[in-house]
Order: sequence, then structure tokens, then C-alpha cells
Amino acid sequence: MGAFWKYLGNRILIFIITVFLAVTVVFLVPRWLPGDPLQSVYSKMAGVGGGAVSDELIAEYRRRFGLDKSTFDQYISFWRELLRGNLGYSIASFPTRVSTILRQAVPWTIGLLTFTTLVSWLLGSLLGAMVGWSDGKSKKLNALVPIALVLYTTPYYILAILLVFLLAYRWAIFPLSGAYTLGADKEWSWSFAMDVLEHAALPALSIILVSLGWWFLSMRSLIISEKGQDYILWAEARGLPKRRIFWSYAFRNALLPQTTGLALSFGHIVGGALITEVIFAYPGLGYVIYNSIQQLDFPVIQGTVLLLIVSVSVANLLIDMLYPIIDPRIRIGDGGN
Amino acid sequence: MNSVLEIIDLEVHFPTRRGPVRAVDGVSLTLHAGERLGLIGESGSGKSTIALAVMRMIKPPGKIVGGQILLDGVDLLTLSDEAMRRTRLAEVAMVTQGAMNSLNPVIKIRSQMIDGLKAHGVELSKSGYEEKLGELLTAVGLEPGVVDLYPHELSGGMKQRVCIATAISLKPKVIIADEPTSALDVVVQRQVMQTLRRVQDEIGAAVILIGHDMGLMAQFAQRVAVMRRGHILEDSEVHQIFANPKDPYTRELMESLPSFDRDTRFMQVIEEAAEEVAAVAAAQ
Repeated sequence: MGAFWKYLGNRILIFIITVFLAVTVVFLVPRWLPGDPLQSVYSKMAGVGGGAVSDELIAEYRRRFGLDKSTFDQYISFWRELLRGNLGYSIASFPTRVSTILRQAVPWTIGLLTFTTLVSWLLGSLLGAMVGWSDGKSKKLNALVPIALVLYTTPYYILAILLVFLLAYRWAIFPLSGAYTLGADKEWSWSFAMDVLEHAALPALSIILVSLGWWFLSMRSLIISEKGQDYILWAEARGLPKRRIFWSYAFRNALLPQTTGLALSFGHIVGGALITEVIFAYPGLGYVIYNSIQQLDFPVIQGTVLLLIVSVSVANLLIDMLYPIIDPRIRIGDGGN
Repeated sequence: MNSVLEIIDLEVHFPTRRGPVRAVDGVSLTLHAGERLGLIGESGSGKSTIALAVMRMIKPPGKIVGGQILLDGVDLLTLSDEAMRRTRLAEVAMVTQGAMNSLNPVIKIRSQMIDGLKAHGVELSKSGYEEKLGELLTAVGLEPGVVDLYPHELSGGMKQRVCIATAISLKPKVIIADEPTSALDVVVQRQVMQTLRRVQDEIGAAVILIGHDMGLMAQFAQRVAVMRRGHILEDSEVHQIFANPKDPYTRELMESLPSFDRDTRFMQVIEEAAEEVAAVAAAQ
């Protein structure tokens, strides 16, 4: 058990270093970019008040957001606030807190991507395994290969635009954008749930179709290489039924790399399918990142990226912890031997 | 002695663009009950293909295009796929090459051995299986506790013993051992061969041992068939083969063995082989 705790300690140390480095980079890079995050605030005020904004007001705003201090001082105070759990205020949509923005966006992204990732992984893996196992004997199954290739090589945003054009614009079966009808009551009701599902259908479909192609092709080639394994040959020589050889020998072993792939893609869920969310104006984290970068909204960029890094790291840690369950050859703490 | 396995005029072809490659070309071979037959030959001579043909496990595009394989008078080539599946392990068991990788890496030994029993309708209680597996493992010199291990926790010799234990679990009439010791060091090789010999005696199965290790053959086989390019060149008693080989190729094979009391002709064999390769390359 000692080895396990040592391993966990190591991992947590690596985790802390990762977060530190990433947060530092994310803090610095937007500040090196040309442009002024307060620009949007000025133009808003100019629009309301008519005419130029006074120098005193600008100085006051810069002071409020700490932008008058040196980058180093800002960096220190950023960490001080972060350790207190304070991500600060959004500049572009002041006085909304960054944490509020994140809290509103996270459920949409996680809901959309957890579902699509799981569905495409399951479906792609099963179909790919079946096609790989039948190996050209079934014409119908084989027809799936070129389809999967086309799906896999299609950029998902192209597919998304195509879907919007056909199913939302031309035939108007699904809503064009958003995650729910504006003005609808956000409550736990049947009609609101249906509304949300209708809005999620197209973004979900575009993500599922494209990643399905990848999972399909990957599982197919894994199964084909499994068929050449000695243990498959010997299973057949023992007279095991085909079904048993497929599930417990070929599929079971091909599942190992495929599961690694799934776990890695779970790490990216929080990042969202950025462009998909932008195309569908889906209010998830991808959309938030896109907007905040456009507006140079430093605190929001920092907050979302921090969340991303933490979740990718946690996902990786979980994979490492869970992997020994599916592969008995891996034992935590054995690394040194 | 009555024959248990009779291979008559077997033809196994692999189609290529320049016509079929005759991996096994008109081979006839008889195996008597309880007999130990050695099948030797260089790589690509067709010996493993014969083994796979008897199991009816030739992979496409390879195909059995002619001949008969009679097991106790029944032609295996006429059986339905399902009947053939039932024949494997129960009647003809195989111990494969590549001892290191024959076991499924993610499943415990217990369930891999039980898989074979269940596939042939042996349904036992939990303790019944445990007892049966214990007996089988003890017979090959392993602890019954091995059932709780994963393949990577066993040595190469132990893995091959597990394979042998599984192969004898339904008391087959014929065991085909295709280079069962190829990946093992000489000490373990000897132990595995002794184990195979002992269990073969116990269940009275006939064994076809495939390989190219003359030393192992001399110790194990009663009769040896020599193969080259899909043909059987010579099929004689083991003493005959070693003392007085009839076929010129067999004679060369024997002379290539290192010996204390005569010079080897082994360089000459290699040179001839090189010339053959060059001839094939030139023909293309």
C-alpha cells in the first residue's frame, strides 16, 4: 500500500506543477497581445453617454481591474485571489463574476459532450469490431468502411454547417441555434426538457458522426490485428465458440487501447467542441472561451483555461488509477521494478 | 496397430498471382494409436500447415483443395463447422508455437481452462471445476494455485505446461504439438518435453511433434517423417532416420548435425540453400 501512496503523491506533485505552469502561461499570453480589454467597456459607455469617455473614468476603470499595476504585481495578486477561490470579475460583462459565467456554461458543455463522446465511442467501437471481425465477408458491413473514412476526414465544423443549412434552415426541423428557446422558463418540466433536446440534436449529431468515424476505424484495425494473435489461434484450436472468442479474447483485448483513447478524450470534454458551440451559439465553455478571447477578457480566459487544465489533469489521474482494473498486467507502484 | 489418424493425399494451396503455392502437396501420413511421430523439415516446408489442416484452421486465402483427413475413419473435411469445433480439443488437441503468447493476457488461467471444458459441454459445479483443473495442473507438474494467476505472472515453461494441461483436459486421441518448446531455454525445453511424454503415456494419446530440433526428435519420437517443399521425403523409424537415412536430403540434414567424430557438411547445405534463393529471385 505504501507504493500506492507514494505514487499518488508523485502524481499530485506533477498535477500542481502542471497547473502552476499552465496558469502562468495563460496569465501572460493574453497580456502580450495587442489590444485593450477595456475597449468594449469604453464603446458601450460612449454609446450610452454620447461622446468621448473622460480620461479620469478610464484611469478609474484601469485601477479597478488592476491594469494600472505592473504585470508582475498583477500576477501576484492574481495568485493571491485564486488561492482564496476568487476568480475575479469579467471585464467585458462587468459586474458578472467569472465563477458565475463558468457555472452557467459548464453544464451545457458537459451534458452535450459526455453524451456525444459516450455514444460515438460505444457505437463506433461495436461497429468497428464487427466489421474488423467479419473481415470482408459481409458486403453490407464492409460498406461502412468508406462511410467512416469520409466522416472521419470531414472537419466537424463543415459537417455542422451542413447540418444547420439542411436540417435547420432548408427544412427547419431543428432550431438554428442556442441551447433552449429564449424566454423559456428554465425549470424541470417536460416541455423544457424537450426544448433542450431539440436544440442539442444538431450539435450532438455533428460531433457524434465525426468522432464515430474515428472510433470505428481505430477499433476495426485493432480487431484485425487481434486476429493474428497467438491466443486467438489457440482459442480456436480449443474449439471455443466464435462468439466467445470474439467477446472475451479479441474484443476484450482490443478494448484496452480503445479505452485509453476514450479516457483521453474525456479530458477534453470541458474544453468543449469549440467551433461546434460557436456555430450553434451553444452556451457552453467553448463559446465562452471564444468570446472571452475576442474581447481580451483576461479574467474569463484565465478562469476557463484553469478549469480546463484541472479537469484534463484529473481525468488523466483517474485513467491511471482505473487502468489496472481493465489490464491486470499494470500494477500501480510497480513502476520501479 | 490400428491407425487413429490417416492423412491421404492432402493438398493445401495458397493462391498467388503466379499460380497456387502448394504448401502441402499430396501428403499421406498415418498415425497409429498412442504413437509418437516426429515431423521435421526446414521453415516453409509445410509441416505447420499440415497441423492447421488437421485442425481445419487454414486461414484464407489458403485452402485445403484435396485429400482426406480420417480421424478414426471419419473424414474431418466433411464435418460441419460446428461438428469440427466440437472435435477440436476433445478429439484432436493442439499445443501451439509461441508458448509466450498463447494465453489471453487479461483473463486468469482458471477461466481460460474452463473455457475449453465449457465449449465441449462439460458443466461442473464450481468446486468440480476447481478439482478438475487441480488434477490437470498437477499432472503437468504445476501447483493447483496457478489457476488464480494471470499469464504474465507465469514463466514461459509454466505457460506451456498450462497449454499442455488444457490440451489433455478432454483426453484427446491425438495431440499435435507444433514446436512446443521453440521459445524456451534448453533446460525448460527438456522439462516440457518430459511432461508431454508423461501425460501422453497417461491418457494414451498419439502425438505429432513438429519441429526442427533433431535432438528433441531423437529423444521423443518413435517414427520421424521428413518434409520439404510440401512433400514427405522419408517416413521411417527414428533409429533408421539417424543411422541410415534413405533420402539424400535427409542424409544432408543428418550430416548437418554437429558431431564429435566427423566433419559437418553444414556450410554446403547453406550454400545450396543460398543458390536456391538466388534461383527463385532470378525467376521473378
